[in-house]
Amino acid sequence: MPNYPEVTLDAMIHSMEEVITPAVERGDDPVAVDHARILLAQLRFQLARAAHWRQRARLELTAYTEMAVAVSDHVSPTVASNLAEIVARGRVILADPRSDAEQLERHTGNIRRALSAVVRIASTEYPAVAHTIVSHSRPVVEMQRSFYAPMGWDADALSVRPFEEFSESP
Amino acid sequence: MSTVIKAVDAIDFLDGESLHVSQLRDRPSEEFIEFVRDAFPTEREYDSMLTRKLRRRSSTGRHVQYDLGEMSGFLSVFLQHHQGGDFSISDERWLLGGASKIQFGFTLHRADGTPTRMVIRMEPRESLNATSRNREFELLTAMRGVVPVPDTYWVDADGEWFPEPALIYAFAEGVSRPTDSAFRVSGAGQNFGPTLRARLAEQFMEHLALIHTYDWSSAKLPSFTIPRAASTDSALWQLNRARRVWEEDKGEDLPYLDVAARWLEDNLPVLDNPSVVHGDYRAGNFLFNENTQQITAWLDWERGYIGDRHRDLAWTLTRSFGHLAEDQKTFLVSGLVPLPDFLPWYESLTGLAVDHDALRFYRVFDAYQLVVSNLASSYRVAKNGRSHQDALLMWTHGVSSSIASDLLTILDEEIL
Repeated sequence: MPNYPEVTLDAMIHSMEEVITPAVERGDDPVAVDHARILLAQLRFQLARAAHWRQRARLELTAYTEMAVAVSDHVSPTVASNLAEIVARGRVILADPRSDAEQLERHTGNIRRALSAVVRIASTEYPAVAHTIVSHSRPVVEMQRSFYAPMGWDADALSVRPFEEFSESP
Repeated sequence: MSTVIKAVDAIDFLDGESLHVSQLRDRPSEEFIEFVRDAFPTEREYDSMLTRKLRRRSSTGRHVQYDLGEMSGFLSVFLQHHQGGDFSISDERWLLGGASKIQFGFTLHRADGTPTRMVIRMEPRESLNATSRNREFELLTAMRGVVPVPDTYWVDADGEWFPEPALIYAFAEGVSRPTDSAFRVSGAGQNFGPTLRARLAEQFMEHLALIHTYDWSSAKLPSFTIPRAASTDSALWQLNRARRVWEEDKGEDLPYLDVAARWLEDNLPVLDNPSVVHGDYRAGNFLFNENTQQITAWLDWERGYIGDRHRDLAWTLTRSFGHLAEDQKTFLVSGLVPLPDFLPWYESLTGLAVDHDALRFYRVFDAYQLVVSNLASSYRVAKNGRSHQDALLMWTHGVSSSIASDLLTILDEEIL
């Protein structure tokens, strides 16, 4: 099966490298040169990650589902019940092989929204909730560092694991 | 639990529907604007700028790219009114101006024949940072003779003469990075090489000390609200501004960022000595002469304020602004100063002690506001096509996870 999106991105990069960027660099507009370089860099990043967006979305939803389960241990029965509902929905989406990146990301957004609300309204249970949120955020942030590593922003690139090493925890 | 947290929680559940809230942020209602103003009180001028940003989001469309001729036309009319007499302009061109502002260079020829190279620094429809041209103009003017800054000429604070608010200052000679170095967006993580690094590092530290020890009390800074010493005003105003921006611009929720906000609210440091704070003190925001290796100008004062100097120290220490030295072990602050040297060097130059509690607060705060800027504001501005640098804004989006990692490291120590 031909991979049309990736071939298209590769063709766009080739055009930017061979035609557009050299032509812009011969001109006298530094802003246009800057834009051309950013577009080229972004296209290269998109191509490098084109095959991984769905996997990234699955990893995020898995991580936030686990975070919500852990937070449930520290909140009132009512809030725990609401979280249980949203966790169950997340597991259904994860188990469905037809779930696409958009569905996965949308439900991750729902869980994050619920957890943010818990952080904001928590009172006596707040220390345990904060502890759980921070400790469970680390794996997902490290995964995101890895995903965005090709952009070259990370000041400690040697500590970033290859994205391929991330797999969904059971 | 604070009333602010309760209030924000309430608005987040308007209709229980995130799409509704997202649309509200794209087209803010007066009710929403009044809510965020009330929930997050901050400095008067910042309140004005943020309110203006939200109102214009509803009333103006996508960014318009003006051509050189149109900009020259706006400039000519402006100069006829403000300069008067015979004059001409030449050498009009666009300049690189970072992620947030539009920069237009030109040469002004007055009747006496003296050519002066100048720069217009103008906002796009919506900027990454909703900052004040009045404040930037006042601070640049105040710092003249303290550290190298361009001469200031005029400010059009309300966009009366130009399409958007703008200021005009002198063109500063120099480069922001070695001409033979690799391209780095915004100068973050710039590698100057060992020889140049040593020369620039000395000036970098001296200038920071001069800014923080400058006696601003007689300077004309009417657009600045001065925090009370021995109070938490300075930290609270900054925190409220950043939290307000998050609420105005976010496209998603981040639970760990809400934990950070609560930690910050609970750990506001008391201000010992109000100082001028540059607000974006790092490589990329100064120009230098490659032959003399002298810093020729400090730019980008738009985030500046009178407040806690630890805010600058923490910002400069941000990992994304530095890199490892050639030994692959020593971290270079802003690509210039070895980390172990940075704070002792600062203390010896200023005679001011570093309060490590205040520094820790501002390290969390700076990471918080960088995530806000790169995840929320970048997204919202680009989503609505509001700036000349939307492609760059979506590129800077990628730095957020690295900054978030730093934020979690500090929160780990504080909370776990």
